[in-house]
Amino acid sequence: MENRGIVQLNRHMAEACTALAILAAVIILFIHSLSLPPSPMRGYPGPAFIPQIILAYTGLFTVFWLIGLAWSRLRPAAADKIDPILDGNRFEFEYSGYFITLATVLAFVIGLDHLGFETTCFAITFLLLYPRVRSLATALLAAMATTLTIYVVFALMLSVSIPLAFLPSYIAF
Amino acid sequence: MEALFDSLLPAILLVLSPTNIMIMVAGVVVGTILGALPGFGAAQALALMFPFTFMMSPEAGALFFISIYAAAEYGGSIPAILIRTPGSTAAAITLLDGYPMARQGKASRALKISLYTGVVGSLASSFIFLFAASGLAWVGLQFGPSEMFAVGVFGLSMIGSFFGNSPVKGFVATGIGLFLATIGSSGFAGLRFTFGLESLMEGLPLIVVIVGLMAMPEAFSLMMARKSDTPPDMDTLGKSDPEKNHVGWKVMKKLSPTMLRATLIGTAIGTIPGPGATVASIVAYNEERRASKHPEKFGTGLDEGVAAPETANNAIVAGSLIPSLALGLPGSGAIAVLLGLLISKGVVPGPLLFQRDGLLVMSVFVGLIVSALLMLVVGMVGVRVFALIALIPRYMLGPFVLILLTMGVFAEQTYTPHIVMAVLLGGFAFWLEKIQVPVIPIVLAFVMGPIVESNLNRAMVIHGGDLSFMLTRPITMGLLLVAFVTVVLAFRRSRKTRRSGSRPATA
Repeated sequence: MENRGIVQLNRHMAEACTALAILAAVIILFIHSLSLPPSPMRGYPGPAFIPQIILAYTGLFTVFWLIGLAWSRLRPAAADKIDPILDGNRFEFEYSGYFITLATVLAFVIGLDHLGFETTCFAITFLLLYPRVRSLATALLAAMATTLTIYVVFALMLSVSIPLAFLPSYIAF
Repeated sequence: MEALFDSLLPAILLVLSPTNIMIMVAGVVVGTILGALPGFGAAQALALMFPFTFMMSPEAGALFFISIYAAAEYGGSIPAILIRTPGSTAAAITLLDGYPMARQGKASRALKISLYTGVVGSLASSFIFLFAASGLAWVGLQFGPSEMFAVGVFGLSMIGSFFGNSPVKGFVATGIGLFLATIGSSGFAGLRFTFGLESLMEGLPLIVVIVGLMAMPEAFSLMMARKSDTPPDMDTLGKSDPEKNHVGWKVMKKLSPTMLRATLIGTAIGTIPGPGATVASIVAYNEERRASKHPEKFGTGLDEGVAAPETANNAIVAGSLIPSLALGLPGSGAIAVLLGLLISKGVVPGPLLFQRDGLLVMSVFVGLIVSALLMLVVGMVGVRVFALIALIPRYMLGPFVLILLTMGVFAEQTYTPHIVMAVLLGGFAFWLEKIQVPVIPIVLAFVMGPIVESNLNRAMVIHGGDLSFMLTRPITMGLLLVAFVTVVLAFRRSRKTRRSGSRPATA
């Protein structure tokens, strides 16, 4: 069931997949922790000691989580009792918005390194605002104002070393 | 304690300096505005404002954050009362009686009660903070590394138990936070879990974790907001009846038992790592209803129904500072951000803080009082204006919040991989919230992880690597037993709640 970049997901399945992914990560990290160097001095537990306890603890509770999910799946009546109308067993996940947000930030990072702050901030703010306000002038003005405000606050007031292309030539205190 | 009071006068002078007053006024305004925005609680507001503390001294930064924290707890109630849209989860309880009052033409009365009782809660709990925190710090000073390790484990058991609707998920989240804290340098024993990535060698910076896990999910949510989303209910904004809206001494006197009970409840719950403002509001409201001669009238627009949760959720600010500053145990997401600020400024929270940084502790105490008074002034002047903030469409806010957060993360070390880390953590946290895994335990465990590890390491070095100290030192063993009992009780409570078919409150 899909609607404009939104997908309906089964909560139990989503939880089970997440728990399995966490468990897999825990196992991989635990194996990796075995290659960490031993303790450099007597009494000191070494760099792997605490991470191994943490990973074992996380793994144990993740297994409990999975068992709980399997148990509630075997007893659907009980599952209904846990999440009545409040939660339901399905939830909406807007994957398009999710990936747009991730892509926006990654584009900002690349733009910041290659184009400089002004062009990147202006372009990204404009591209995000235009579909929302549906007015070219408003989106342009808002993007310009945002870029200038961030420049003034971060670069001029907080003295943050932002990769700038041209603004300091025009606005500086 | 004596040394602490020696710092009182310098602290008063410091807090009342024009610069710090301006910083606190800015904090109160920003906190109220962000608190009034649905989805933005105190923790998110603090995470968003973190970059603005870079140029501040530890004292000024702490004052700024305290003002934001207190004001955000109050700000959440404004849209709850006026437009039936709680700015924070704690304010959802205020809505129960606040909104019916507004519908009866008593919006101004509800807002005034919310403001005045919130200020009283803040002031009263500030004094409790001073005496309880210095007492707890004295106890903390008698503790060695093994006891402090046990205190940390106890704190983690509380955090895992109280957040979200399932203790199992809370404990998994705690484990994730503890693991994230181990990434990078392990002191003198080399690097851990960096996988050859230069950007991980110094570990995950606190600001990246705080912004990524606490503020970024809200940015994701705002980016997904649509124009067609249900607008807030604005029916009551224009309604007002001056006669019914007067709140004088008589009303405040009538509400004083309510405020006393709620202050004690809020402060006490604040000292426990985990439950947070929402639980404090619920407990205070329920206790008030239990103590009332007319419990059936709650939910219809009673003064006490607004006063109890508002006093409690403001009293929690000072309450949660008690274990945070005295023992280094953050009790809530907002306090974790505050501790993050202090740690980033080289201040180490814990028992020694009261000896080494008496001025900072006293500044926090005086700051709590001054911020409460500033909140009163700002609240009285701008309450209606702040309510309008909640009317800004959510779908318009997304791009601005996202850009601001991105720049905030970048600003600390001007290192672009930190932005990537923050957005990846944000994406992960957003997903976890979707499947109802609480995210705040990850942040709290991330803050507490190094404290627990360093104390365990010290204790093991002292005892020659022998772990039996956990069984031979009575306080250590006692605290570890209490931690174990806390975990068992959390599961029992969860089972009981499941059987009764209701859900425990989420913090």
